[in-house]
Amino acid sequence: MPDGIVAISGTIKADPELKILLMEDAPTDAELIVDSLANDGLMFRWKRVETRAGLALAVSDFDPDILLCDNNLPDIDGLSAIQFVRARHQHLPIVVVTGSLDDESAVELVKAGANDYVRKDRLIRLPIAVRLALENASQRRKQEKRDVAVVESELRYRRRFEKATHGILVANAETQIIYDVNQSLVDLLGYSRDEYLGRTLAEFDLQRMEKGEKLPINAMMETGDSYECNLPICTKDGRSIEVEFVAVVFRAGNDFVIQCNMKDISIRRHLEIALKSKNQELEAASLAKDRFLASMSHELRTPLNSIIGFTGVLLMRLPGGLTPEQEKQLRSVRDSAKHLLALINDLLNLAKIGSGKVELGQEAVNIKKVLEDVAASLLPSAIAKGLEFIIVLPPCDVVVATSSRALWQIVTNLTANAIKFTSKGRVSLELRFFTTDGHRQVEIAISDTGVGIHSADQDKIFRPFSRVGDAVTQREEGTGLGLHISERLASLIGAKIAMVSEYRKGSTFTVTLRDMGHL
Amino acid sequence: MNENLLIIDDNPLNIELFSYLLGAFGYCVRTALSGPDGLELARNAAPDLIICDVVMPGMNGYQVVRHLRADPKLATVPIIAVTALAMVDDRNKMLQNGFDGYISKPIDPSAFVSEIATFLIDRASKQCAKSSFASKA
Repeated sequence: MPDGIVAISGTIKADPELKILLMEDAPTDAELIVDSLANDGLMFRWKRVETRAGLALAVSDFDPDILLCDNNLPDIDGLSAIQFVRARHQHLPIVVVTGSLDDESAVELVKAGANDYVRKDRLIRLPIAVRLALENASQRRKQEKRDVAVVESELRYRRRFEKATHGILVANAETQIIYDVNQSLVDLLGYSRDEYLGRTLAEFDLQRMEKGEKLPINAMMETGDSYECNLPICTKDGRSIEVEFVAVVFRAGNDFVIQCNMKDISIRRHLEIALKSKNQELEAASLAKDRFLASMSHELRTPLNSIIGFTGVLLMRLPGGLTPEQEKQLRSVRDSAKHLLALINDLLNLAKIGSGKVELGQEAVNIKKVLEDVAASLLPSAIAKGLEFIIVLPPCDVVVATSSRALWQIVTNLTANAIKFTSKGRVSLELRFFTTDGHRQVEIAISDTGVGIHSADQDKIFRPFSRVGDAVTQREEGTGLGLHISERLASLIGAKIAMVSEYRKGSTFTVTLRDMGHL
Repeated sequence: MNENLLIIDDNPLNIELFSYLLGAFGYCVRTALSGPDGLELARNAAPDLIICDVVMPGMNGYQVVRHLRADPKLATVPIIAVTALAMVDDRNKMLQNGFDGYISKPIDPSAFVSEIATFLIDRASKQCAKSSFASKA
């Protein structure tokens, strides 16, 4: 008789999952056993072996769900067979199916690990014995799974409990006797684990909540609600720390358990306080800056009042008549003073970029006119230093929508710098414009034959107060804000300033204006 | 014309500029280099208009205004702040603190003269209205 598959009504709907291993040297007995099980409605695959070697192989390869084992086999007796299987498979159900068996032998077999035994003349009992053995095995497997799950869950909880950054305390909700605390709580309050265990919440003053209110454990047991508050708690060494306290009551077996989580928020409080004071410092610094700006504005305006006022009085001819040359020169003084005033206003505007908005109006600006103005006001200083001053302008007007004041200031700053840092040779101011890909580009180039800038210093020069060289000796020459202001202004009007410089040879600053389109 | 003006400013150059400019336009100008001196002059000379600096050592412009307003004889004299304080809120701050007008430094001389003239005309018309109201009552 071959190994085979048995199914109800002779049809096989699916490969049956149940696998039965028969340890039986008599094929006819095996057939009887299979029939008795099949007749009872079991669906299974089966395999018959009759030697120790066959048994060993089938237990691992066939991987049976149950072993039906004869007691008398050619090379092994039933007891040895059971011991052999048990040594490898602790939980494989084994039912001994044997011709004859005395009670003493039966006890021996069960002791060795057989789950049941059935005499061959009572095969009618076999299906029940098989089902029972399978059912027991299945129950045990389920229980094992549950046990594993419980252990895993406990391990997970334990891990979380121990790894939690906040302190956790677990106590009996009714007796308030502390069961357990985690390391974070030990660290937080300074009491050791042993000091907690077996003592009550009251002993650690952990029942008294906000405003002397008591921890409402009974209400929490009834409602299942958690209780949360911020609480000052005294540590073992007498410090008072503020904690965020969250308590929850739950049932564990027959007991109510209260779990209290405590998180140190003193640090958060300290940070809040530190942040607040830092904020106040910054506000004070900002206020100091505003005051400084206001007083700077005041101090700069005061002498300008005399300059603009007296030149105005002279130009009104109140003290007497003026020659044309005197009038021209006085106008230069007044215009420069007014430019200076505009500069002061722009400077204040720049200083306020962070908090407010710099108002630079956009208008149609004749760039040529701006450069002529700059050249006219700076030519005398170039001449005074014996420098050649060249201005190169296109024949036609170049009109761009931008802020004339900002542009005037940028070009003035760059040109004044060129004159300031050139001791011999020339300074040139050139306006170029060209069209690329239908876009008009306007460039103002300011070149000099002056000291130039070391390549190492070139990326620093647009920073405020970053005059290259010795700050003390050059101190009187300016504020060190010129290039920075120029760059800030340039970015405000959508212009770019590029620089090419060679130490001891000279520098060229190029202002590129984005053409805002036709006006 | 020939209204009496009092100028209080701690900066001699400002005093010189304002008195020269306003004197050239026919005003009778008295000057003081400090708040207390200005108050004393104001009490003695009964000016038609006072031009007062704000940032001054000792007694500042706000204090000068408070003292002037406390004096019944001087309570209605127009006081114009002429100051180098020219940040965003300065004008409002001064108008809220008893000054009748605000002109920032540096001044534009011709505009300055016409502004002062306007304040004097305003004052004259107010006084006119007041006296006609008083005579009716």
